[in-house]
Amino acid sequence: MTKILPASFEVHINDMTYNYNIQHIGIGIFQFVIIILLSPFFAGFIHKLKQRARGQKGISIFQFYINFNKLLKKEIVLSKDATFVSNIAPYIVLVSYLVVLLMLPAFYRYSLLGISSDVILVAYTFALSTFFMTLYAMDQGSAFGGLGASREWFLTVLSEPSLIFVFISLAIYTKNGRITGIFYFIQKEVSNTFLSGAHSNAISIAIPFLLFVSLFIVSISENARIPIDNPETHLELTMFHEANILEASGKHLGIFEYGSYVKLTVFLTLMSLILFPYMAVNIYQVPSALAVYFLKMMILCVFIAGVEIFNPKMRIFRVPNILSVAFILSLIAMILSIRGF
Amino acid sequence: MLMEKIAELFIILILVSVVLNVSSPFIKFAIKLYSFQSLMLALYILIGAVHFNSINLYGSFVITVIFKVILIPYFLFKTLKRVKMDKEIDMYIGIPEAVVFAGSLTLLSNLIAQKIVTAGITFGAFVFTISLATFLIGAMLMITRKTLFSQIIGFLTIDNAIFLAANSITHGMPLLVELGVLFDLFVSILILSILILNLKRSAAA
Repeated sequence: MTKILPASFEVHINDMTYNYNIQHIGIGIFQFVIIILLSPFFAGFIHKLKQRARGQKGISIFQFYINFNKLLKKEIVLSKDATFVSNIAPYIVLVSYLVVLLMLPAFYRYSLLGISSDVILVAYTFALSTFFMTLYAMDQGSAFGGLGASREWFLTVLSEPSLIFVFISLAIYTKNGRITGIFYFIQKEVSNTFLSGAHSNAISIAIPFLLFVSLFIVSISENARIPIDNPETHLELTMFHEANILEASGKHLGIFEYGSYVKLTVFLTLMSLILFPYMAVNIYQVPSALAVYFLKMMILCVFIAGVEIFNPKMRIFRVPNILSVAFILSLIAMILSIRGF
Repeated sequence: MLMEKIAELFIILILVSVVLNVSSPFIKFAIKLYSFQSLMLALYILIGAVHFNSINLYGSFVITVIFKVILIPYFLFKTLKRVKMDKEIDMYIGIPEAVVFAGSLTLLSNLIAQKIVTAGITFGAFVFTISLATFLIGAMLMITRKTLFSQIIGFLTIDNAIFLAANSITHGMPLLVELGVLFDLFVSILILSILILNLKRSAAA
């Protein structure tokens, strides 16, 4: 058999060398595809838990797959004022989440875009998706679009500093600029400290704890979850996220919904990696790493559902209080990580 | 080694509870947070006691749990029930500003802690940062809040911060001194609650 691809090739960026071979690329693609396929399941699981807690029978866990399939078949209705932005915006929103997903080492260390997973880039890819979603909202020319866009930016402006500080303090704490490097460093140090009992000074419990709490608050606000927003209602007074995609229909709506599931999964994956990083480094560890990843995600889903069940929706003017707490917690984590351990 | 890391987590939780206290206007929540914060302080002392195997620290742990975690919050709740107040209505500065101010106080205390450690005083920089930040935020609570309840909470927070710093350098004070300090605190809380009740009565009359 002639070789179509070289067995391995190396990519050099700055000081890092990534050795890509068939195995890394294959498992990387497998990781990407399986997380995309699982993401509506996680959203459905949270939804089911919430409904059972309220005493309702609830929709099926797999309902979101059926909804997506149905929406793809329907035709797109656009306002007569819509420009080309409305045609490209849903795809850019989805693709920017997918790009972040490509960078994350969810259960395999060598993710496909791991070489370019700079922390600043990850934070601003989220901002790009928000930008295009609000453009879509305003482009249709309805009054609700402008309202939703302004509210979305109100939340994003408040939660973005804490997101950036979380990433920067991770980078300072592990002395590593890339997402893959950061989490691999944590995993290595944790296993050194707890398994072999070596005297490691580089690991701390306090910093990941602070970062986890901060990221949890940010992810609740970014994913439009209950104490801050309720995506299930269409009441104009309470809409945050939903007002942006109110005009979307058919395929566009389906893509927006799928994007929101992927976004939730990305945030949950980041939290699971901060709490307990366990990544496979070769092909034999992949099944166990996948099982641990799935378990972690289920536990975090129960967490999120618990927060949604036990909290009423907040007044909009109390939202800055809780988001400023997230900001300060990430700031304290950054101070501690600058000081070093 | 692992003990130190867990102790760090408890210390951090003290600071987190103070920041949460700044962010919330509800007095009931503030008292619960104070109880939680004292519990974290007690657990920190317990870890020290196990580590140094000192009888003074074990005694300090028991006294802290009895006074700070149970008795003082109990009397505060009792007073709160009779005053029928549930929310801090007006403050001198808004909540988000106060929280950001608390963060800048943490930054400031980190700078001071680094200077002090380089000056060669035997403090753990981490504990000193947190206790100084807790002290300053407690003082800020006393200044920015208007009702007496929040000012009492601020006062108790300052006391906890001093307790934390003292326990981190001394490996436990003599038990008699600690008992005296805690009893003073307890009596002052009793007097303050009587004052609150009297103020309420004279305002009603």
